Amino acid sequence: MNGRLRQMFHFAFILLLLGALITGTSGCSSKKKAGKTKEVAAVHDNTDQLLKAKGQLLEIINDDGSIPLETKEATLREIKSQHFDDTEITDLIGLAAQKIKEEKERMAQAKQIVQQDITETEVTNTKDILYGFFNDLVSNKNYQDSEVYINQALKMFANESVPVLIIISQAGGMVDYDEPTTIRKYLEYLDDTKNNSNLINSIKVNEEGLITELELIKK
Amino acid sequence: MNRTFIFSIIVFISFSGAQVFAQPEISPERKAAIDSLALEKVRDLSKYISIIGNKETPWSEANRVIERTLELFMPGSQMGVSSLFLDEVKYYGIREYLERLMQLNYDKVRIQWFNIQYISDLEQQPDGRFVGVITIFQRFEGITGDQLVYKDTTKKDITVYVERKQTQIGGRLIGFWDVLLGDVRVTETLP
Repeated sequence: MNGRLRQMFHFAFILLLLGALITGTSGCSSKKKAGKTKEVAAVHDNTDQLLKAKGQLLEIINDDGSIPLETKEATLREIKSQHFDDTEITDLIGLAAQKIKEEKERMAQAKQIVQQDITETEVTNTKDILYGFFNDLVSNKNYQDSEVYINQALKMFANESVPVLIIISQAGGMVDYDEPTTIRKYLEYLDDTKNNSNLINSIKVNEEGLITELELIKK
Repeated sequence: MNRTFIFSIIVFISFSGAQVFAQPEISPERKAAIDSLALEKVRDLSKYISIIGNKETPWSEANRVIERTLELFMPGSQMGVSSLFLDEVKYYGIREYLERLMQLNYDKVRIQWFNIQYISDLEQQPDGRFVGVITIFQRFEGITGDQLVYKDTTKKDITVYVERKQTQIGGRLIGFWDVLLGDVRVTETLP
């Protein structure tokens, strides 16, 4: 009986040990399994980000102007900050950066052309207004009115001593001038002599739009 | 002493000669532009004289125009003045002439210049300047009350000097023709 009991106890102990062993092994394997799942998830995340970045970069590269420049610049900055170790991404970043650079240059150029157009229009208007004063002075016979016209015209100039150059000839590529004078003297000359024999050839203006040099040419 | 003198003469002649041969040719187009410019200065003078003589011109204006007129002349130039009642022609400095003109004892003064033209074309001199003579006819009328008290027509010759000069404006070198008037001589006075 005792021997049987001992045998049973021994058998139970072995079973317990086996059970413990099995349990222990299975716990370890589930731990390993969990770690592997995490790794796979991380790889998946990284791939998603990579794909998303590639998509965004392609959008920038293929943009026809519908995405604002600032948005494109911000997207590119964000992608660059992620430091992807991927040659395709690196190439796409280069192309996107080039696209943004070209767009910026185009915009700057367009802005410059618009600015130039505005300046040319302003210069033409200034010439017309000034020539109007010239005509007023030669047709006017009243001293007080002349003074008013002269003072109004002088407001278009940086000062009364702005040089006035008068081209008398451009024959054979040589430019010949009359003796240079000042704008006040020239306005007074028009009033005194009633001789408006010169056209406005060119004007130079300062940042405030005031004339700093006037070049006339004989009619 | 003699050698030094002779050497100086040779050097002077050489340099004078160099100047003569160094004169650049002026194309007919450029010459025409200079001719017109000098004529224009004489026309300007006629307008100035008319303004200064006009009794309706405010005193300050007349003085301003006198200053502009003086800028047309070479320093020391003289203006001839004649009268039907005097045989001799009197010559005054330009400022004195203009100030006397301003103070003439009439109620109204009318001065008009006409037939302004070259009597002697502008010719280039060895020193590079162009010199010519422009003749004008001046109609003078002095009125007191409603009466034309005095009138005459005077023919005057004006020597004109034109010189090429350079100046810097806004960093640019500008080559310009400086026209200056010399003496104004009376050649004829008619009623």
